[in-house]
Amino acid sequence: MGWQAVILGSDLLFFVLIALSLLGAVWARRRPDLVRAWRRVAESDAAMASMTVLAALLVVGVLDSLHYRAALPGAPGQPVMYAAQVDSALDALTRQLSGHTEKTYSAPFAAHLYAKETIDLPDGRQMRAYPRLAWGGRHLPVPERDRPADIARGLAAALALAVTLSALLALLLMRPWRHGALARAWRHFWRAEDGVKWRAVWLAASALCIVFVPLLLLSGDYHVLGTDKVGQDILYQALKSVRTAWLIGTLTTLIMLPFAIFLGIYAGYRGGLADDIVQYLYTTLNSIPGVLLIAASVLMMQVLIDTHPEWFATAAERADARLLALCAILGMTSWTGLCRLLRGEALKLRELDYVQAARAFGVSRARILVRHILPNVMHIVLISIAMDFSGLVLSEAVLSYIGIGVDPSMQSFGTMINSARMELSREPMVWWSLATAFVFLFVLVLAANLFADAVRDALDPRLASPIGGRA
Amino acid sequence: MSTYLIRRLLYALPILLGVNLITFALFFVVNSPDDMARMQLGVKRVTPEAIEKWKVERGYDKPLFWNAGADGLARVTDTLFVSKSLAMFRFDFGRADDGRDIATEIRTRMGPSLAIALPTFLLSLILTIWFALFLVFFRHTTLDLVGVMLCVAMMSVSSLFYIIGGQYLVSKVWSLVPISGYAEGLDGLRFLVLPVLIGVLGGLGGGARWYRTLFLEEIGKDYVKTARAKGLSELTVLWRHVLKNGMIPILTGVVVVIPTLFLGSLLTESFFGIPGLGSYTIDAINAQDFAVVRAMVFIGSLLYIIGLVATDLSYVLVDPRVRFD
Amino acid sequence: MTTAPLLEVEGLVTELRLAGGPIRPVDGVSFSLSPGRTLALLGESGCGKSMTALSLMRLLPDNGRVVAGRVRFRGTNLLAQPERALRALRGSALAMIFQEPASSLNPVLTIGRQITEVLELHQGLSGPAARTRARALLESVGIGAADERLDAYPFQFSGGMKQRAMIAMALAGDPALLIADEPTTALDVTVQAQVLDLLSGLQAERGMAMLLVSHDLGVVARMADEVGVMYAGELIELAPAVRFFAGPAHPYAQQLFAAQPGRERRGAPLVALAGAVPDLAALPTACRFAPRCDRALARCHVDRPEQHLLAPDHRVRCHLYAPAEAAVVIGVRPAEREPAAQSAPPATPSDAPPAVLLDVRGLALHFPIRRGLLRRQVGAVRAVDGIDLALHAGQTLALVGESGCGKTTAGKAILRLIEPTGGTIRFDGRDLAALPAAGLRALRASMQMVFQDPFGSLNPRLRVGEIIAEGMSATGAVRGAGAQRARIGTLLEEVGLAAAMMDRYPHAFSGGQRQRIAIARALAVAPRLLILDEPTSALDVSVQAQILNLLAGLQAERGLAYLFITHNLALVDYFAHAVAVMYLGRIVEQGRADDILHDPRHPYTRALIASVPAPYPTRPADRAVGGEAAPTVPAGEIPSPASPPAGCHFHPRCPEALPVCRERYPEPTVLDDGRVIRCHVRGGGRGLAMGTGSVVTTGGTAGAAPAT
Repeated sequence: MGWQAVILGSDLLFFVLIALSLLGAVWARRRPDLVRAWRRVAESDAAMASMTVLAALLVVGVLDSLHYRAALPGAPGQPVMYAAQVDSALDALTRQLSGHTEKTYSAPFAAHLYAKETIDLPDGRQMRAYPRLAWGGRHLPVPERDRPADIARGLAAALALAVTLSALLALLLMRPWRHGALARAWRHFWRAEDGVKWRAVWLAASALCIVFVPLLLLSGDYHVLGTDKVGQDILYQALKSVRTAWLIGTLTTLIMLPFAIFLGIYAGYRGGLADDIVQYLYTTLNSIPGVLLIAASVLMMQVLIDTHPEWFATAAERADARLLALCAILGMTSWTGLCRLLRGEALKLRELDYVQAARAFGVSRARILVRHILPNVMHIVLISIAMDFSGLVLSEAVLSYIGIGVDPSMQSFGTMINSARMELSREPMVWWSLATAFVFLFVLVLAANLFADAVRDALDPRLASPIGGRA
Repeated sequence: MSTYLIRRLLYALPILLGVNLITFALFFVVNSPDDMARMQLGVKRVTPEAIEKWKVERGYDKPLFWNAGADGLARVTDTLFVSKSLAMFRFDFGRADDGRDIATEIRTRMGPSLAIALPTFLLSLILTIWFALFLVFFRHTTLDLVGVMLCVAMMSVSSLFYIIGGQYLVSKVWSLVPISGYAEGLDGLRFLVLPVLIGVLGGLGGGARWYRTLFLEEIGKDYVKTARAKGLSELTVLWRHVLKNGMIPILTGVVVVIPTLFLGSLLTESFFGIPGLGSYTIDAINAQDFAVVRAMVFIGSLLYIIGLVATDLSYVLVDPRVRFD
Repeated sequence: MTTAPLLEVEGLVTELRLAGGPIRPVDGVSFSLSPGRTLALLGESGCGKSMTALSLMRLLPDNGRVVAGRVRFRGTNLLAQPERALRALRGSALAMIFQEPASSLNPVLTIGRQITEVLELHQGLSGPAARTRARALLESVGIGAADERLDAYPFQFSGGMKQRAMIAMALAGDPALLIADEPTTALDVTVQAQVLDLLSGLQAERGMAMLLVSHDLGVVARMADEVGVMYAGELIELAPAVRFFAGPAHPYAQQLFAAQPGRERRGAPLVALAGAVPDLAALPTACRFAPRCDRALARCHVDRPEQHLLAPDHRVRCHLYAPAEAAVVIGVRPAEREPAAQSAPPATPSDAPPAVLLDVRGLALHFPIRRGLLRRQVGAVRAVDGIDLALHAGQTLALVGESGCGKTTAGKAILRLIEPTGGTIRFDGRDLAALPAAGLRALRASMQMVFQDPFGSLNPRLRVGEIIAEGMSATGAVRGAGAQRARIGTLLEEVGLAAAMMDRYPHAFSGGQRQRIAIARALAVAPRLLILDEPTSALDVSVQAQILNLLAGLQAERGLAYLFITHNLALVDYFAHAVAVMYLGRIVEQGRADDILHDPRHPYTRALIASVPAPYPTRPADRAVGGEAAPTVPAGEIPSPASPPAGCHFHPRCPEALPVCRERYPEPTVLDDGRVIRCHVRGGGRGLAMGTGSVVTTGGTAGAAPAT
């Protein structure tokens, strides 16, 4: 099967962002002051554990950003045609989820639909019953009898695999070949004698293994987290939502960052009229309540997109453009806070003696901004990127719920919650899709919050507790 | 001091004008009224006549800034900018798509919004400060650690889940209060309890953690050492010395939102069926009623700017350095 | 000592938990204090003296705790008392005042409230009774109009008044022991003298015991009955003040004296302690001073020294005084010791000074004050108000004054870091104002500045090499990476650092080393004039001596001219050839350092000199200046430069003011020895107004350089 790579705008920006972070990390390794700051992050159990969770979720997001169009089967010799459907590497890896669509609701691990339907019996009569699922548990001859044992078998095998993986990981992290004896390697590892809390990485990764290995292994035979109203697998939806959350959380900041940094430090350093203008600009933008400005902008953006259908070749492209526009809108409304912070900081730095010393040598203003001001406010920028992430992910959920979020065709935690909300009032209740969205969103945001805390404590020692190294 | 306040008030005017311009640009320049009409009437089968009719009905059939066809002053006044945007300074918002006067609608809906938002705000402020002081009193102990972790966990839960969970548990499982609805007067109290409680709970984690940081910063200052050297108990130090100083940064964030309480909360009102401004906005967004959204943006900014001025005023009350300057 | 001790401290050990592990800022400190007496704990920053004071009251930060020892106050061990019992003592029998009066008062409570809360707690007073008592307390610390001041907030008080209010607060509980932690360090020298007078008066009146924590030998000499010297957490010497100042025993204490700049050491390098105070996290296991001690014996690096008694009341922790060694060393006095030969001394001014390098005339810098609705300019803060300075090549001109007098602003205005409002600056005969942009760049290479705060003056994100190279690239002094690196290496060695240090970041360096780097940065462009803005005021005295020696050496080698901005008269006495004394934006007296410091004429200069506590125990009355009656410490504090008094700015504080002083500012007068003075009393009658310029009423710009 041939395929054609598709790079959506958001993919491109996302990869640029990841590349920038990697470059930044390589560069930071050569700076002892930055290495010291990041070592403080590594000394925190909570930070290392949340970083592990975030890394796992990032892998999901990256896989879901590798888009392609599959080649359609055609006669040899003819030009290859590609499907209109844009898939991602994640879709390809989880065919058993994306392909296995049921008719409607089904509970986790169910073999039957959640609602009674009229079934045509072979003898021509009809009866009301729960029909068998098209995919979930279809390998079982008699689900009522075989299901518990089958699930237990599957779980046992999966857990065995998970434990093996976890043990292998422990071995890898302990590096016994470096320490000679295994016991010594374990002590070194568990007590974090090199200052890096690998044990937290290991524990978090093991927890992820124990939860996800069974889920993924069994997902071939069952809908492990159930299906929704149109019969789509909930686990699949949750995994697809991860990418949206990452994009909203990171691209928004990336888009607003140049404005905030440049205007903030320029206004703070220059003072005078430039400062007045920048202050007026952000006070004015800030005066419009965020939700209302976003609502108005998104409405206008919708009009723009809907009246120009010719701009987009595929539905995926349209949804993607809408996502990017949402990021830009969120960015426009949220850059003001960072800008004000940076302005204040630049105002302080301007008076510092090393800036005065540079001025005494006649160093140009641009050079002072780049060499002396910018590097000394970067920690604020990093902290605010980290702190904003979780807030943006949460606000995506709310905005999508209100109807001014991502394109309805795009999977996100907001659309998941929105479509699941009405199901609570069903009798009997459909709880699984809401519960899944809750757990995924909670874990992602909690990890982001804990990590951001650790980053703030490490980069801004002023705010850290005097004892240091608190989890 | 009074010149200070007058200056702040005067500074509000250009900001309001800036907001007005931004809104105008957003609603009339990004998309022309023709686009909006096409969108509302359905993109495919729409005739130029229908578009023209739609525009005339709403008074959108004018040029943006300069009416070359008019005479005298009307060249400036008989434009979209003056009749639609500047008119908002007179609280003339025009009519919604359903034909009702927006200004009247806003007036009647402010009450229900405030009935939810004000108790939420007050209760939340008191509880958050209390909880933050509690954590600060037990700072660097296990209790503090658990409390902070709880805060982080609470702020990691989407506000949607607070509402959904609260409605499910309190209204559906325990049947303590109605799941949604609104009534005037005392009778309406039973409708208010749940949204207010959920509002308080939803903001507690983030708020308490933020205030805790502020109080901890104050606790490190020299005057606290002086207060302890006087023999004051830790509680007195917290209540008399730390709280009063910590209130200054807290006020910055708090006073500014008081006027915007009138706007209500979009989420809470839509979930609980409160006929306030929040649900009005949501309905308008879903119905793509541009006139209402525009009016709400303007009102929201106006209230926020009033909040900014009120913040300055509150500094005068709590901070003697501003009062006597 | 006849009375029973009020306070007995035995083997006090305090621990601070830090991220890198616990440290012990106080390690086995013992002393006792009797009623009515003053014990001074003397030491440099980080030696544990403040932490000792806080430990006594159990007021340690959250991460600190006392791990061993006893603190007996009136016989009961405070460390064994429950918190509640200790709270009853804090603020009543035990009171404490702190270093920073500006931050030690609660900014949002009135002074009255902050005093009455002590009275409510410990004296059971409330309402009008408490208010009456609070008023009496304010009056007793010398604050006039006490009734109104009770309702004032701290920000409405000047620095000295804040410290007085702090003292009133401490007295409110009628303490038997007052702990004063660097009580005058943040104050100007004239205000310091007032507060010290106040403290000793109150102590005599009330029979309080006082534990004074200070780094200043002068303050200790002025106040203490007994002196305890602390070093790296240990009390290394404890002696009666008279004995101590007659001859300190511990080598560290001796070197502290030797590192004091002053008249008697002029022309010779100071004895500078090598290195810096050790890091508490990595202390030497034996004697903590041994690595820096020039008399260390072999055993000093092996065993921790015991305390040895030189007299019943004189203890010292040093191997030199072990019975076996004692005969050799006892009785060595610091003044008799030969200073180690280091760099060349600053040249004594010859009779024919070299050419004028920097000639400043009528330099003015006014900051506008904007008020009202439209922010119209309603006045100006005349930070620098028409000053004339002449600095000769290869010499040092000290610009002296208290905080807010405009001396730093003047320095920055000369470098055009802040654009001056008026006046001319001629450097090497060229008028800087007339210079085009390219000429200004050349100026940047010939005039450079060294700043006060060694921690704020180096960009933490740049390598030392990059920091030093910045000026070379900007001014084009040295081009090309290779040439720059070579030059940076030479420079670092020249300022006493290693060339290899250029690849490190500033955080790896101590305050003194950072100041060396800052000097190297300035030297990188080969300037002829350095503006030194309080270059040693943030440093400990032992490190200060190193920097002063370095500066003196550089001056001798390179013929550098220094404009030395300082508040420290001892430094001027040691270091400068000429002095200009500044008060509220104007220079009141200017001339040769020797003349002015030893025969001050202007009442302000006289007051300034009289206020400096000498590092030997004396009474102010014993000191006479210039053969005349000793001037008293001036009353009051420096007024705001935004609204200086009419007439002579100094007249409200001047003991000799005439009616004319209230009316107009005195014109400059040249006295016989060439000094210029602006005073109706001491200058007006005798000299004649100099200056070619017109006598201007507002700016007072009539210029006169010291006669050559």
